[in-house]
Amino acid sequence: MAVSEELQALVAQLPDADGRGMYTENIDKDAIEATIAAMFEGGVPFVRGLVEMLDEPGTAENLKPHYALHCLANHTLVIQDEPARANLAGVLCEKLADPELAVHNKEYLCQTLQWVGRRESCAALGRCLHDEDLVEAAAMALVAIRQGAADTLRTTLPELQGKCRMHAVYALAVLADPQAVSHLRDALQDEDREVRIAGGLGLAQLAAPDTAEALLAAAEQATGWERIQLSHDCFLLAENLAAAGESAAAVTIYQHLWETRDDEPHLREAAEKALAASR
Amino acid sequence: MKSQAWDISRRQFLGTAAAGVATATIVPRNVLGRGQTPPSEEFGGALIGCGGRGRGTFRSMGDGIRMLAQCDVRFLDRADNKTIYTDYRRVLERKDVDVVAIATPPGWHALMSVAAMAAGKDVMCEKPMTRFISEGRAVAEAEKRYGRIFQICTFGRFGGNRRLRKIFESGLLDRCDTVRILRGGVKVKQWSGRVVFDVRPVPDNLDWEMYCGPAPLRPYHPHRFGGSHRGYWDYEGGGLADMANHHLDRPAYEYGRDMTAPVEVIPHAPIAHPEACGMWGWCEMKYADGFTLVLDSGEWGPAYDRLEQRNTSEGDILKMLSEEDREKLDEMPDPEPLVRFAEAIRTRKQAGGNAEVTQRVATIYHLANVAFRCNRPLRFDPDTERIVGDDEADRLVNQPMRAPWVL
Repeated sequence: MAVSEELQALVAQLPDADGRGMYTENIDKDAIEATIAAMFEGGVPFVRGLVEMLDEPGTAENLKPHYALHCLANHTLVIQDEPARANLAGVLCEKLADPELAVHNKEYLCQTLQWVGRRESCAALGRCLHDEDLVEAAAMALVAIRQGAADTLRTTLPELQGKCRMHAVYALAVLADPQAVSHLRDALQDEDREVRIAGGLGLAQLAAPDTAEALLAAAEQATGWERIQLSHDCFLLAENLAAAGESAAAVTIYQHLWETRDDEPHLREAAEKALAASR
Repeated sequence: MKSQAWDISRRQFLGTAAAGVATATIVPRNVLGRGQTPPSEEFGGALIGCGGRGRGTFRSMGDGIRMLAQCDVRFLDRADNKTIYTDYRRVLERKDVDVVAIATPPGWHALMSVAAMAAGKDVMCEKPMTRFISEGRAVAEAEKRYGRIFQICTFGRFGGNRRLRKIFESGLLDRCDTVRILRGGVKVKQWSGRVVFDVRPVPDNLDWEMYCGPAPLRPYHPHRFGGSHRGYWDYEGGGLADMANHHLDRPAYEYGRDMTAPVEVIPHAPIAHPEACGMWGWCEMKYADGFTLVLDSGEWGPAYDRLEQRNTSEGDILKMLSEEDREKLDEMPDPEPLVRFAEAIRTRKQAGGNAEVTQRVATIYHLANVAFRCNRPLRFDPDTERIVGDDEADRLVNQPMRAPWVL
């Protein structure tokens, strides 16, 4: 679809880069905001038009539509226009499925959804989890959106392999989704070290008392970096359990760490200190 | 424009740090639970991030630290995983490394600091400590949990007015109508990012994937690397994030602003670019007790003129207390002198520029940057360390990381 001349004229009003390729000279706040407000009046067709104007990263051709799309997304938040925000997010989600749009531009749409998307964007981002080129940006957007993201990740996870699966497990771990306990417990036994570490983090965040044994065992078997991370997760789990009123479970973890970490005196001391504090 | 706040140089600090080493109490390290070597002996040290400030950051730890390992993502062509590394995780696995100097771009600082302390290392971290607010809480919690020493590599507070600090620490001052304005010195234009750039091949010796780390894996261009990384939200936060810890460390100590955080933030800036840091004018930040802090870049737009600086001296602030409270203040002990890193790692006393106070200092400039990026006033809760009533702005307080990097 051709981009309207009116939109092109508005985009052209945005600042050019200065001699260093930066936005540091002749940056007129009022003029930029007036231009963005005028673009906002163009509604969905202008959002679609801006996406179609995106070009190769770093090029002068990409600069203004790239900046405009971000400004416009933010503008809907500044003026707190929820229907406009949802419409803008809807266009970005629709464009994520456009086979003609370049991957780097789809990454940018994910990044913009990380900024402005809400629950309604999760399904479209979830479809990007299957794509090795988009999974990173999509997973980060889902983590930022939070609301509805865990459902999407959990539903999609069984279909994912390799890199895509790793990113989804991390996102579930960060979101501390209570319904993901079994996925995270499985992750703790995964062949991939990074997935095992994600499983440990997720279980620590979730603070389910019946996961302590598995996490302690995994930490004890691990070596090197993985041992550092999973031991750290044991402390996080104990702290989260204590905060949730499960003091006895927390003490059991500290006691175990105190008894088993002779060669890691800093962990033994930390466990000892925590035990003293919990008495 | 010269900063009003920064009046202790790194050189001055190192001189006094060395004196701190000489007078440190000699206590065997096994008594302190850290092995068998007495503290008068050498510590094993590692430097992570060897360009730019790296060597200086390592030296800031003081004498008696032997460099055992150097780690940098540019060392792909020379890494032997014995003394030269590209992957900091291998360095942290080493049991003979006691202290770590971290001088990578700041997008890595919190991840590395937390992991280093979880691995039993003490940390000297180049400023800024973090890239966003939630990271700082994780660093402060790790410092406390593992009983490690953390010091930010800026030392303005060590020259701070302890009598002024005492007033704010005393709890006697409920309201404070001070307005403190910090003008200039934040290199806004210098540390901006490129919005137009040529994508280039990644140099053979550079692990670009590791360099980007928790940030999105962007196309490589040299301006994102080697000092000018400061101009990108992915790695830092412009001149403000780079310089403000210097300027704020001392006033934050003196006015007790490292015990809490602003509650209202009013920005004045053009709409920020989504990836490249750029220009801003000023930011007015109010605290719950009435204290107002203003950062005025002096590099864009008209100078800040909403309020005049007022009531900033020790005498001005003493006048805010009743006669009775002044007498109570006199009876209270003065704040303890701040402990320097070299002394702290030997005595296990908390360092003066520890993670908890640094988190509060960093929160000031991170909040300003969030407000600039969102182009709207914000309200912040110092207890939860979250933005109130603006979910999208709050996403910049706790930003997602690219897996497998996570706090």
